[in-house]
Amino acid sequence: MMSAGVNGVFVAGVSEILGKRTNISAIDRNLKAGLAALDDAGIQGKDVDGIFTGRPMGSHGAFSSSVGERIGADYFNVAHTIDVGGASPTVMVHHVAEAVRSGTCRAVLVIYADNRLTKMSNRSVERLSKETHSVFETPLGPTIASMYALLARRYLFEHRLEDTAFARIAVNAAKNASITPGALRGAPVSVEDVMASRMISSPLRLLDCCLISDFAGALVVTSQDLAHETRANKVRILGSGEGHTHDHLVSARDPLVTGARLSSRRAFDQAKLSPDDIRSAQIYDCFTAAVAIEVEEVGLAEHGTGAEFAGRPTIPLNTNGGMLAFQNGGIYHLTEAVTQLRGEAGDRQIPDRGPALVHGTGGILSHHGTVILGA
Amino acid sequence: MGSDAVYVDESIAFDRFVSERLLQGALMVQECRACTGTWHPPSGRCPLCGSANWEWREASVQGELYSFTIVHHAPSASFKEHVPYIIGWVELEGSARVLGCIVGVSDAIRVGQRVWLATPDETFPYVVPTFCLSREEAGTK
Repeated sequence: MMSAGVNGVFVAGVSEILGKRTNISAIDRNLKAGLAALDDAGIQGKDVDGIFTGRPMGSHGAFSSSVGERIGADYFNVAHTIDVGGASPTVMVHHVAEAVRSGTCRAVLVIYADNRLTKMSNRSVERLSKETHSVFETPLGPTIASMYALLARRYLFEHRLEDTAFARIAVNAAKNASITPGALRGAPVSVEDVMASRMISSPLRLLDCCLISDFAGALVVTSQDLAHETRANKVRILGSGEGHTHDHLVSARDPLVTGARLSSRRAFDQAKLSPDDIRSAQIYDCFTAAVAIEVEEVGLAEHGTGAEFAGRPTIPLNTNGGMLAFQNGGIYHLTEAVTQLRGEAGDRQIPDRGPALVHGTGGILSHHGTVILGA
Repeated sequence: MGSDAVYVDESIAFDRFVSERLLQGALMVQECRACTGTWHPPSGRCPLCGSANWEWREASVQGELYSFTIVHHAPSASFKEHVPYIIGWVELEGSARVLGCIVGVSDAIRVGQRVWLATPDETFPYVVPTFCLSREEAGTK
């Protein structure tokens, strides 16, 4: 029996299926991403013994098995459909890492894909706004941007910052996207451009908000013995964690104290690392203000300095442009981190391939997942 | 209660009670008899300590603006004609934090400002907690 130290967990394969609009069904999109990740890992469908997927809008709770029954595996020791919004990819990887570390699974597919743009016919803003509290939030007419705007305004007040404080986060995203193939907002922008973009829900403007696009990506997470049979430049999962505090914002006890504190502490403890050891970060960026809050909550920036840190990051941050400038989804934060650690990021390759932190958040800062990866 | 008792969803009943009292000008919150915590939105147990021993309490009509946002991009057609409108996050004096709509003169709106509960604006699509930035305006709404 292997000791815990030897029983490492690896990302042996990844895939990204890009495109703003893609005229295929959600299930085919998931399948395509999953099979591409298996190809990348050099693993057959029959070798897969676990499958995790997100839940595309309108699909049922056992969606993961719908995808699973099509990939050519005989059975799964674990099959779960996870829906904690944008935290789903990182939370899935956390659970998968546990399943592999415990010996329950040897090779697990993690897929996150949906037709957010094509299926919703440009009505995804309306559809998502209905996920607010049906009695005490939705009737007020908020978009998801409004809910984050309430947090953003409070953050600016508590730290005595101007409304321009978040703009550089959008600037950083666009700069990184400008050298990333497939980026949907690939033109560089200035602070002035951000502040001149139309107001969505004050203080958040159009360029403070992420793109809406279809998305599909997948990872193959394997045990150490199987990983050694596959790619040479696999990436190790050093630590992971999750944390949750509320569903709806109106129920949040202290809205700016989040589950990211729990998820990151767990991930750092498991990795035996501290925030100072992190050399690059991919932080869920549904809105600029969310990044400012998250970098503080995971420990990368001091309390009150998150907007400054995320705007002028001292380590590479959201190296593909994130959801603000690359594509929607959240899965691409993970695939990008893996691509960078493998040294396969082309023009945007970062020189320091030390520990990389990926953080996802879902709901209105309700759900959090942190994953720390190492080359 | 007889065997023909109808099934009642407690959460829906609580929500309806708060909405109905709102129309009469009162914002009802819950107070825990065990830990003295107060909360909103309604739930059958105290979210702070888990106790089911609680009572309804009429919240103060005064509060402080914890945060706000001015909505320029409406989520759906029914709100479109109302933009820009303001959603306020209000810390009610001595009880809970609620989300509501801010009406009336609001040019100088800022976090930390005093707000007063007003009768809901009937031209707005739904009945929601409604606040004004001055006592005078709230009184006339």
